[in-house]
Amino acid sequence: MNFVPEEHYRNRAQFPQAELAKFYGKEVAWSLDGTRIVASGDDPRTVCAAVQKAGVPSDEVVLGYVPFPDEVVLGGAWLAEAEDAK
Amino acid sequence: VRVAYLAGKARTPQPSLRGGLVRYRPIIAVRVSGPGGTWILDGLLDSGSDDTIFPEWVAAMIGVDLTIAVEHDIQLAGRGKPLRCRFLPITLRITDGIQETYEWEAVAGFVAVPLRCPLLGQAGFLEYFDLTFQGADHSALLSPNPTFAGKRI
Repeated sequence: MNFVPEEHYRNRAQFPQAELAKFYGKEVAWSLDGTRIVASGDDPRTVCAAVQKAGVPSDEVVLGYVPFPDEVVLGGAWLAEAEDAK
Repeated sequence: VRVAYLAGKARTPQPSLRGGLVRYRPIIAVRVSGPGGTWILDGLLDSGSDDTIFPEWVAAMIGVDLTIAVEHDIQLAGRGKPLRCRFLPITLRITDGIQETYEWEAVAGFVAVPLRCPLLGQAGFLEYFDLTFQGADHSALLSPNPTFAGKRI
């Protein structure tokens, strides 16, 4: 399947908010067209394992984090935040 | 490669957006490969990051052995305690899925903290491209520069 990132992210942006709310704060695997969430979880390793268990090739999903709606992304500050959380 | 920003909708009006609700983020899909696998991940185009940094679980998924990595402490701005980072070469690829695909080897850092999104910083990523952030268009343009030593596919 051809992967067109612009289409992927456009579809993700249009994913129904009510449905997306179930995944706030989670790691997810998106379908290549960005219309479906194939697997999700708190730990990205379990998401990858679920993708593999489902027989989906690893380069036919896009792994990402679903931020909470009012979460502010400050780039490298994630590192400090993650270190604090340890 | 044109990168359309990922739009995210806030629940409450954002002061910095003058009450607006939509955040546009320069997220790009980056294909990451190692001897044991290939995955596509969201990555943040972060011109403020010196290095290109992934969480350690990515190393495990693509089969790179961090025990042979170069360990180096990275000092986070304004913080006393450095963060241990392990550096190894991996293969990165970006595409627009239409006419441009670029693949190259990058020395990326891996950190043992739950980094939400890989940071695509200067070393290993942005150094090879000329990058234009197009705020009004909610997009970025990446063009390989003369230092790009990878391949166009």
